[in-house]
Amino acid sequence: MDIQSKDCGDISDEVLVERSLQSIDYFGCIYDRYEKKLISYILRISSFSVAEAEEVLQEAFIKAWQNLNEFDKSLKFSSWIYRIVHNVTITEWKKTQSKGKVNKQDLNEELFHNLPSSLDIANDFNKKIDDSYIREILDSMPEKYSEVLILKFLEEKDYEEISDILKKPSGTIATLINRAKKSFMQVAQEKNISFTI
Amino acid sequence: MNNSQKLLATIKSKNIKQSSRYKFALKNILFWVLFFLSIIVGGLSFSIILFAFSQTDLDLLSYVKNSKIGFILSLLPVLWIFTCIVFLFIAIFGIKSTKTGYRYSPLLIYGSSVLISIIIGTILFSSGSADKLERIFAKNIPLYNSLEEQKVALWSMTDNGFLSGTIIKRDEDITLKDWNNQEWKVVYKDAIIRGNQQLNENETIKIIGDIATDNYFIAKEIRPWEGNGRQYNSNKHGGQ
Repeated sequence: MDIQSKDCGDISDEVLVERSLQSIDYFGCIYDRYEKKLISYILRISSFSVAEAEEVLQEAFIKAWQNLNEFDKSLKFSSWIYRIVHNVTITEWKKTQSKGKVNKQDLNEELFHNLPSSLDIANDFNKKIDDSYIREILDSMPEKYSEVLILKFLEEKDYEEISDILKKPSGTIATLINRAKKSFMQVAQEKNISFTI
Repeated sequence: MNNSQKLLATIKSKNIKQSSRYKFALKNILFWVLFFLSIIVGGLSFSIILFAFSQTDLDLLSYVKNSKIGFILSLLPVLWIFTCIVFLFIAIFGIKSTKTGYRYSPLLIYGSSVLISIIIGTILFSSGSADKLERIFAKNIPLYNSLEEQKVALWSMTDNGFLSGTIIKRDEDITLKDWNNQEWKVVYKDAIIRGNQQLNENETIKIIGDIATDNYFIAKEIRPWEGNGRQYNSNKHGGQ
């Protein structure tokens, strides 16, 4: 059976998971559906190249395939797959760092354009910000802060989804986001990067 | 070949299988079982801690002549406190490792684990099970230093003014055989007698006082072996 992405268009993630358990070809639909989002996510939380991010995503999906029976229907599938991708990316990225092979990529795409306006909701940032500055700030922040900021403001996940992805209670996520916002502005000040309001 | 086709080709060529859903269900159940068992063991330990404190004469601290810290440590049921803490942490690890464990707030997890252990411990202690349990441990675990043995050790610290043993004769003085079968002459004419005791032969007692000379002990206070006798009216031996 050869199933194309177009054949899966209207089918929900959860049904696709059920069907994937019967026929592997449906699993390809899931991959196609999430590929762009997840590659982008991998690039945001690591400094892998696009080719490396694709490799990481392949590995994450193999892991997801092996554990497909573990998928809990009380979760959103997207949260579950983000969790796996997050964990595989962090593991692989740490391996790369421990080998001393840090390979920073210049991202010209507008990966970060949402962040400043979301960060300071009260004051509503609306000026164009240089993406590389935001990248620099995120890279300087503790991982626990940068990961919640990326999920909340770039991936636009709600607290419950972030809780399911990072396996932390929602209350903890809310606290982390508040602290992360402060930390973001503090690092920006230290680096003399100012966001015009 | 696009990336999804590449993925499917890898899975098929390497024949990568899915883990059984029963494996995941079993893993989840095992963590819940670990949580409940650990909470129960924590509760059992807590009940023995309560029992140990109920058996301890905490007021003895004011009589201690040597190291007070060393004495306090000797009073604490260290093994059971350690066991209780370790199993609380195992219980917390267990519930956090369940499928949805991460959703509970740390305060809820720590609070409920401690609270459940305290409730179980208090129920066991109140029902007298802690005493029985402790005796079972003492009987069956050779290296286990039972609370009774700790009590004997404490009440054999004659340098600190604590003596205990069985009365073998009573006249003007008490002749007492301690736990090492050593005989003592106990002068008790000015001693406060705690508890409902007659100081008869074969009665086991605890004495607070001072060593006068070898095997002579001046008693200031005499207590029954069980408890500190403070629930009863005390009287001076001279008033009997």
